[in-house]
Amino acid sequence: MTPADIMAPSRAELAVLAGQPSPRELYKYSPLSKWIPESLAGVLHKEISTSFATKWPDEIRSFFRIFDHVHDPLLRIFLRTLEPQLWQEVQGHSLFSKTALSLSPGGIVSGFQIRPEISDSFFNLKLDFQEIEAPAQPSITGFLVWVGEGISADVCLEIISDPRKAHSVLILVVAEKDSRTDLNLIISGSGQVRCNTFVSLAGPAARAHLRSVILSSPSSHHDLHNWVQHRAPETESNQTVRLLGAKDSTSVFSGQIVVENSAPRTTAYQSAKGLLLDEGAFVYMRPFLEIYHDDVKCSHGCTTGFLDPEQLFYLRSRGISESRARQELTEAFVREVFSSVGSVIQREYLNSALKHILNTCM
Amino acid sequence: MENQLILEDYLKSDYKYGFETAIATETIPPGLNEDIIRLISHKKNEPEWMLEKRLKAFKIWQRMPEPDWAKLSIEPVDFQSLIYYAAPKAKPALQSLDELDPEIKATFDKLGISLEEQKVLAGVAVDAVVDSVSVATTYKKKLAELGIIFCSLSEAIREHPDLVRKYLGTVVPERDNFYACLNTAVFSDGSFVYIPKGVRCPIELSTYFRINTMNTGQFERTLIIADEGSYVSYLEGCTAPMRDENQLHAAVVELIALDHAEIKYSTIQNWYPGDKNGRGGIYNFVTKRGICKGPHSKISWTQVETGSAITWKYPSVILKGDHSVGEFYSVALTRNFQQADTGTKMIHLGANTRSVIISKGISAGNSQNTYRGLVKFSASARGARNFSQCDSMLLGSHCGAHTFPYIESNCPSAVVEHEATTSKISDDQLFYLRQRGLDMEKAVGLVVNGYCREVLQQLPMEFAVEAQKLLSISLEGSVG
Amino acid sequence: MSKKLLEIQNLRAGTEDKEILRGISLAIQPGEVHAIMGQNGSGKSTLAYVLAGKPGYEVFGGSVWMNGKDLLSMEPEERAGEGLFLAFQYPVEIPGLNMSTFLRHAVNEVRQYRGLDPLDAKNFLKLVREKVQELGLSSDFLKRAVNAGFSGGEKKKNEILQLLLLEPSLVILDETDSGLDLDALKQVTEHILRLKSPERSFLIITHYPKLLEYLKPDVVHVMDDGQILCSGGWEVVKDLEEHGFENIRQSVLNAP
Repeated sequence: MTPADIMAPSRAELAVLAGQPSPRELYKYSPLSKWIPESLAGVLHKEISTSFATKWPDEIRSFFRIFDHVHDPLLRIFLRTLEPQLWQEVQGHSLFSKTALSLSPGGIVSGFQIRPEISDSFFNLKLDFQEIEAPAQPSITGFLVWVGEGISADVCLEIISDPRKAHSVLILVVAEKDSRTDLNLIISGSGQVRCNTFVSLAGPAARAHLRSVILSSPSSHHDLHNWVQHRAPETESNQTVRLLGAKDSTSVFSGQIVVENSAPRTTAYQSAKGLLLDEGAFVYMRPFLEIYHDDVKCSHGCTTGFLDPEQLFYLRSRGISESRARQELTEAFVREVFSSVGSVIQREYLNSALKHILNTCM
Repeated sequence: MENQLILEDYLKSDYKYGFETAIATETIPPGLNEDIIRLISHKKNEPEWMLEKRLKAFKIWQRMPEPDWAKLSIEPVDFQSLIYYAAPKAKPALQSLDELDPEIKATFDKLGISLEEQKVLAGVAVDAVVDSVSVATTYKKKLAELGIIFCSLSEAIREHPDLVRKYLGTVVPERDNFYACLNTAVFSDGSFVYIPKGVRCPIELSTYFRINTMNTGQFERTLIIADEGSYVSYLEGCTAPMRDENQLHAAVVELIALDHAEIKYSTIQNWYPGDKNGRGGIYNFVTKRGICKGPHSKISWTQVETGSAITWKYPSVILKGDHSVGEFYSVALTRNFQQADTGTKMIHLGANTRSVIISKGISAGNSQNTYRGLVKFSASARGARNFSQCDSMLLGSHCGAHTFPYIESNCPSAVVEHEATTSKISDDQLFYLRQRGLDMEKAVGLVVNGYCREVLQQLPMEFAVEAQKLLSISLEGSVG
Repeated sequence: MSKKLLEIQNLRAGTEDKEILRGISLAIQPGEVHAIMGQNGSGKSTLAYVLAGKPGYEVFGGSVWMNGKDLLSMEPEERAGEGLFLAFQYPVEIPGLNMSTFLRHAVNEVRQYRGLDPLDAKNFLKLVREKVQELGLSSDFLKRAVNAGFSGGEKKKNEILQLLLLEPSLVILDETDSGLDLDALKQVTEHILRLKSPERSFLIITHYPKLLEYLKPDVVHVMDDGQILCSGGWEVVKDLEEHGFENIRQSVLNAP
């Protein structure tokens, strides 16, 4: 499949365009202005509605067209400010027999080089905004994960937010025919971060599993927006999300599943659960379904609440103290997300990362 | 495959009741300004405070932007070309039922509407309905004995100004939204209900009155107050096709339930949805909201929405009293080019408050059907619970079904459970029924009715039967 | 007379607004097997929950002594440490929490309560693997999440596994026979039989006599409407089998 094949928006997509949520809707719980570097604020006002990256060669532009009708202001700004030479770097990285890379618009994340650990089968990255030297202003960091035909890709991303400034992370996934993408994400830290994940299942029978854990610390603001688009027949997506709300923290999950008219026999599932640990925690959930074909199986389940008293009693009746039982159940609540990770190495990696964070921060 | 073809074929059919009737009305010039509002208030013989309320709302409205966030594509409304007052002076257009389009007559019969009511609905000369009116009068007397006030809002403003002043606009303040604000400025008329302390209203209000409460105009306003320990069930609309010349309907309904009171509000909406190409049809932009003010109070909304070109409404409950209960049961059926964006808001403020949301969307043809709902727990809503189930069914491959729940929790001891599914109508179920000899049309009707059962059984008995028929008829088309 | 392991005196308890147990008294000596039979809703499971200290149940009156200590004032985990073990009728699923983590915490916290040193990882694993094998469970059982996706038989076996590891002095089996086919029931019963010892007592809650045929209770209590209708030996079970519950109730009520 060439980029041109997956470029032209369908009729249904154009219809979607007409009913797009406004930036106000998309950024309801976290004002957009917070996430935009001052140097780029002007771009938002002037050029947000125009097509991005006009300075890019046609080939690259047409590739990104796949996200053309996604009206996310941050995505727009990001794509607009990308420098053409980055594309060359993209081509240089070989992963999943196609391309996966990190794209940072020049100059926004100063002094920060992303060095993902890349192998043939996985891509692990820790993005610790607290360790980045003096980020003068909010930054936008983007990743493109392009999964070629028949390829399996495992991506793990750990994001640690920074109390000094709000940062945003964009993850763009293009999945071609018969590919499998597992995207595992852990957000933690004591600051503010917004992560926007855009997944386009562009080829028939492409599958994606998005697993996300959002941990919070007192006063943190963590915001995860998944946008999963089914463009081709027999595509499959699965989203599992767990949120932990600490005292005075704000945690947001917004997960949109869009099934285009061009994607019959699609299945799409989403399970989102939030646990409010303390008074003063805010948890917002928006599990959205947008369906334009009747031959689909889609469902979502979403809960917020507290630790299950039955589980708590079960552990205590086996002699485990209440505080230990709470701790174990809280950890179990988030670990459940990664129980379906196929690769043992990946699963261990994720669980140990989780354990480390829970032991040090919670 | 065959199923698919037949489905697509018959889902394209036209609304059966889109007939137009010339009605003589006493009107004022089109357009909206302070003078028009003064004129409306004057013609309705309103007290000064009501006029002030209207003018204040109008001032606010002028500065408000038209909302655009819903998933609807709306042709802009020219507010200056609308006529804001039309006295309900309907003149019969037909002399007898024999003149009625036989197809419409058949629909009335299918719905099981009495001859008397048919005449009124079809605009036949009303002398013949004296019987119904007298039935209504009898009930009115009975209600008065119990201390129940049930009258038009205009009458209530004149006769019961204290009650109206105390509660009007307290649940939906004029600033609430663009259309509610416009409604406050120009509302024509509507119903007023007051149930005194401890009284259980013995009849379903408006079942026997729906004839009289028609023609309340495009800016309807309803206010229902259930005093401590009282109960009322209110029915709005009817299954029969509603003809109307007004393009925009921006009604406001306010419900107030005091300690241990219960209000059950049922709606069947079947306004003209436009033709099969999406031309014409009503814009139904309604603000409905209730407040469970006292402890242990309960408000229950049930709606069956099949009409209108565009429906945009969210009957909501503010759960303020501890242990209060809010319910929302909805069936929304769209076809051809209809668009519906409907759902509810459950705002939990009180401790141990409970809410239930059951929504069933059915979209067919080229229609777009959206559930949008908010469940919010404030920090004070200790021990609160919500359960939501939002299902969508798609008939045919050109329609859209969307689910947009918003869940906001700031209370660790509150629990939300939300589930949603989207799927096509089951081929297996259809085949099973057809194998047993039912035609496609009946099979679809039965499956859809079964799918909506949870909601329909919330309706008062006779209303539920009508609603079932309505769903089947709405899905009826060129099959067989 | 030997020291009583458990003594329940005129226990009245229930949920917030409803008294379910209306004056229960019974005493269990070390090594004894007691059975409680009764129809659904008679209060059998409530008794088990109240003894184990389930939140949501309230005690309105009476007392319960275990090893001479006031059981009702203890936290659920203290009761477990004291040697009380409840095998649940419907063990709750805990996705995300794996079996070995769970068991390690339980074993070591109970040991700590009893003044024993915690087991190190090596010894713990050795012990657990041994018991897992004994129960005929597969070795990856310990890697699974607690009860999540377990079959009915696996759940019951998991309860037995915990029983083996925590070495309680009083075992309450709440309808352990429910949801098991005959083969599984036999297996589970055999494991329980092996656990019988002069120091360990059992309180078996059931409404089928089948399980009791294997376990041979010393005392059988018939419970009805939150009270003990009658108590006796094996003859009570036979009576129940032959004449049915309703007859026993009538004869007790009509007795002078």
